[in-house]
Amino acid sequence: MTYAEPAHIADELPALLAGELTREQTLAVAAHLRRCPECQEELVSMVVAAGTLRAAARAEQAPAAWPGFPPLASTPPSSAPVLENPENVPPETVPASPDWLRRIPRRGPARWSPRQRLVALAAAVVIAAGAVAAGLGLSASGPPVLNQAALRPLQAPAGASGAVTVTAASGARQVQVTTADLPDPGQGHFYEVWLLDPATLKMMPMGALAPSGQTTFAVAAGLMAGYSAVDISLQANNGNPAHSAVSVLRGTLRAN
Amino acid sequence: MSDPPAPVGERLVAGDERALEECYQRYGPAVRGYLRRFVPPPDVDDVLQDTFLDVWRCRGQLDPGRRFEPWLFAIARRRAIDSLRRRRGVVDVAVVRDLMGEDGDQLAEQLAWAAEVRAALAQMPAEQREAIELAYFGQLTQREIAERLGIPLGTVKARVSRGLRRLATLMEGRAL
Ligand SMILES: [Zn+2]
Repeated sequence: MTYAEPAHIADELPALLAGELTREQTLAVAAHLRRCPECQEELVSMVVAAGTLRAAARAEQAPAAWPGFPPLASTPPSSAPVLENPENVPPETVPASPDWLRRIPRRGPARWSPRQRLVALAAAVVIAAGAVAAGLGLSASGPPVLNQAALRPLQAPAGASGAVTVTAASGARQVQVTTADLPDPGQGHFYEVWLLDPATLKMMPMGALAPSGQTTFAVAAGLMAGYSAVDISLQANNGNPAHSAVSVLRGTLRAN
Repeated sequence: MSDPPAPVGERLVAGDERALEECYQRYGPAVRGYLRRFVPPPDVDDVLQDTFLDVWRCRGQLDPGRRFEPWLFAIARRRAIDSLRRRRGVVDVAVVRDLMGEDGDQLAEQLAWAAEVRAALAQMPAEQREAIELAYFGQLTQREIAERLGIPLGTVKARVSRGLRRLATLMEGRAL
């Protein structure tokens, strides 16, 4: 019986990957690994798991985008926030079961007031009219392209894609949105196009869109100037006019 | 193999009220940690509350065949953006850009993955979880872990090794 032939060396692999073995131990483990398919298989699992854990730790320890925040005008100086030191931040905790959480389910599905529904409906009518006008406008050949961008997948399958082209049309802008290979939105859901200004976070809904195909929306030139990105969201058809928080595609228009 | 993190999503879709509470207990701390990077401290808990309210309200949009965590963090990001928008003029535009831009998107994605890892660890035997957390999140060596826990080094090696094997199986078994 020799030292080089213990059963298997799977238990040594985490220490090997962490650089915690001595030279002799490292060489003995290496020699075993070279000729043992079982331990090679174990090594794959260990590398995947260790890499996963390091990625998780790295993400959790990423510094805050900004160390503090400017106090509100009405906030007395004494309650100004202290700078956070990422190295010393204690583990994040939340109350086990706050009151608000237990109240949520009893509220049931959100209901929208008749006025909110009217506003949404009015917006839809205006957009539909705009789309028709834009469709007519496009029958004239070759309006100048003012801007264009590819739409890249956010919460969409890798194959999904899209493009947006902005053309001029007598004081207005035609925003042509093309999508390809978005999944079927499913019953009770639809895709919606939004204009977005990343700097001020303003959003404007433009209208519904098919998973694959081309739709054109008309926007006043002055309005269009306030936005620099196009976002496509997956919306529930429940009358809620707000962005659903599920963005499937997005593209940034170049600054004009 | 049973995989509770996915069923939380499925039970949410089915309208199970307990699933929301479970979801909050499992992911609340991670979501709060994400929000604290962007949202002014006094607003963090309001945004956290809005996020889980949305989780319940929008559960119909959740596809049980896909991972739950990125969906959750996308909602948190959306809510953080809404909250910064309400503070327009007070919050640095650079913060807003970090949150809105590709970096913010990527951080949300990485933290969603980290939350998934934490949820997988929570399913493992306590001894394995403890050894792994000390090694990978506490940055301790195996020798230091043995000293801290008062157990033989060989026992630490076995626990970490078994835990990593189990974690790899749990993570590789999940949807891409
Ligand atoms: Zn072997």
